[in-house]
Amino acid sequence: MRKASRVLVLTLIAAVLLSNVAFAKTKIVQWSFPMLENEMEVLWKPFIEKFNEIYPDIEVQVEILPWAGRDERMLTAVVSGNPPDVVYLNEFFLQTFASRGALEPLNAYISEEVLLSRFPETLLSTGKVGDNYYLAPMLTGVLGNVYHREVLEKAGWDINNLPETWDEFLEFAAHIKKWADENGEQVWPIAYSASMETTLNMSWFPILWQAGGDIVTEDGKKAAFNSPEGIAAMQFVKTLADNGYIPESLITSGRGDDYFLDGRVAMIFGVDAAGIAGMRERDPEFDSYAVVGPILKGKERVTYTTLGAWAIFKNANNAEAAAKWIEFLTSPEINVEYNKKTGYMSPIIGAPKLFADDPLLGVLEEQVIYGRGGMTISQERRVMDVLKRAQQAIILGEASIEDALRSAEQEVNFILR
Amino acid sequence: MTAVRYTKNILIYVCLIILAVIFAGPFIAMFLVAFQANPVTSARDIFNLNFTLSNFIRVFNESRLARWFLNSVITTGVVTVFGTFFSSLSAYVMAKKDFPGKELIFWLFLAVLMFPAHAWIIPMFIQMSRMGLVNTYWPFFLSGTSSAFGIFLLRQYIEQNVVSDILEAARIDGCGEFRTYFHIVLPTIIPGLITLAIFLFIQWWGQFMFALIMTTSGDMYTLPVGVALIRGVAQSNLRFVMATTAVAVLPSIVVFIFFQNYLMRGVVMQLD
Repeated sequence: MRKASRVLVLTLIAAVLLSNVAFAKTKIVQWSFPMLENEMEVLWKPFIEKFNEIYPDIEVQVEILPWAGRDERMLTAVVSGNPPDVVYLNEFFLQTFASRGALEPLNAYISEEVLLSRFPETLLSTGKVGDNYYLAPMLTGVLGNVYHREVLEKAGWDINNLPETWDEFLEFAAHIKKWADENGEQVWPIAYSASMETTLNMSWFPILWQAGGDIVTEDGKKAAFNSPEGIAAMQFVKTLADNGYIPESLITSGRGDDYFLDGRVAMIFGVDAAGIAGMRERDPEFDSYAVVGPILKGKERVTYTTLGAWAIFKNANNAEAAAKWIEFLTSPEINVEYNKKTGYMSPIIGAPKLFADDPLLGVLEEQVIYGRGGMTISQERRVMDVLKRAQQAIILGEASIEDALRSAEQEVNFILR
Repeated sequence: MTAVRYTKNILIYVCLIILAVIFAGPFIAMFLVAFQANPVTSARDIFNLNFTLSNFIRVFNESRLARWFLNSVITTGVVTVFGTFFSSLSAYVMAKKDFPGKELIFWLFLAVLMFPAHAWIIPMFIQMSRMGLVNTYWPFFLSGTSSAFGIFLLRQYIEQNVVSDILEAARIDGCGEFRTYFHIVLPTIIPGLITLAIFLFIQWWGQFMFALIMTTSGDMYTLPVGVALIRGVAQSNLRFVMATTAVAVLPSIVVFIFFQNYLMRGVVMQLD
């Protein structure tokens, strides 16, 4: 009798334990950074519900962290060996983590065939180190030039004849400046920010690429900007500043949004979808006077494209489940929904145009073909800081273009050594 | 002579007023924008005030500001009260007790002040993570309630203000250590305690990096992290961001206004 009851108790315990194992969910944690107000309700809860219809045994916990301090937060998590499973990364973080061996190769979990069928190879390659792909693109955003219709009308410039090339732009700028001077108007041709807070991805780098130059060599081991193309790109910016085409305050601080909204500049350089959304929020009449113009061409027609992507950290609790979640997020249906809500462009091959009906974003969306990503070296921010200082020194007349670029080249080569 | 003195005073006051405007200007602008009903697109919109409370109502309705405020009150409150108390206990021992290695221990305390936060934040995170305390209040409590700065500050204060003869007399009258501390030392050092409490409050109320590293759940964020989160999504809506920031900085401003004399005293105590 005693033996029978012991067996019964043991059986019950075993049953309880086994049932726990059987119903235990695999939990994955994702870190993302804020894109929308009330993002959890608007975006993530519906996505998780849909995902759980397919994978009911995987529990997804999304944690939204502030953009500020994200480098420190992610590095702390990686160094301490306690990172989340899935993380949102921009391309410039790739080397920081990939070089530490902190990322799982995506192609170990999602076949290369699937990846290549989903994303354009150029974009996918941005997240490639060696033979492995580490980033699954989620969004792209392209930088455009926005012109002020009312300013152009007042200055007598045809809005349908916007500059296509550097030469045409200089002609346009001279026309606006002349009109402003003759009429005593406090209006400048272009809002171009050279402040230390402005990322060069949104200012000088696109100009350097348009000149046909590059920031660093292809292997990322040496500076490449001290070249005839680099000098031409810096000369272009200096010409804008020297001729008084840029409001002086933007050389040292701030962005050009206020100038544009006040109708004090004819064009604002380097505006992405988020920038347009921000100005629309500040001025409901924004669409009535804003026009997205062509991407300028020096030797090439090119602009900066931001890349937001998902990656799996090395110490993920369950890399396979994380990969399933990423595969779900980058599926055409979910990806398009995500980008529609966040205002970015979808990097998925064959994705429908999300902003075809939007007079401003629709044009930007067409310009994605001119986009290229920024640097993917781990010293990206340090290199950028050196070049920001060089640009300011040149514009303020503290150094010649040749001297400033030579000195910056030495400093960057030292950083990359 | 009098005319020279008057001129000198006038110049000093003019300089002080200019400095006051420079330092107070951003705060005034912040509150004006936070109470502004119309969109703010340029500097002149700030002063054309159309008063409303709707920005604050929206901030509390559409974000978890109330929760973050509560988290800040709990973490800062506990750290301020217990940090002050524990620091005073250690400071009392360091100031009035003799034991082997006392100076060494005190200098070790001071050495802690020399390390920047970035040097110890990763080991601290690893420790908290292994103890399962990340995303709880405990990292704040454990880290904040022991303050090397507080021990240093109060040791100076106790040495200058607590007379050793009184402690000796209390002991002769039969007071134990804790009774001596609570009945003799504590009442004497209240101004020093208030000064330290204010320093701890201001330090922990605005603590961003530590809170960011130790929390990842939206429910556990403190105000500085929450404000950074809101700034990330609503940076183009200046009124919303300023209303959030105003809520976050108001307690520090109030504490500063009411207790600035104690803060000044604290600075002087450090110099002594």
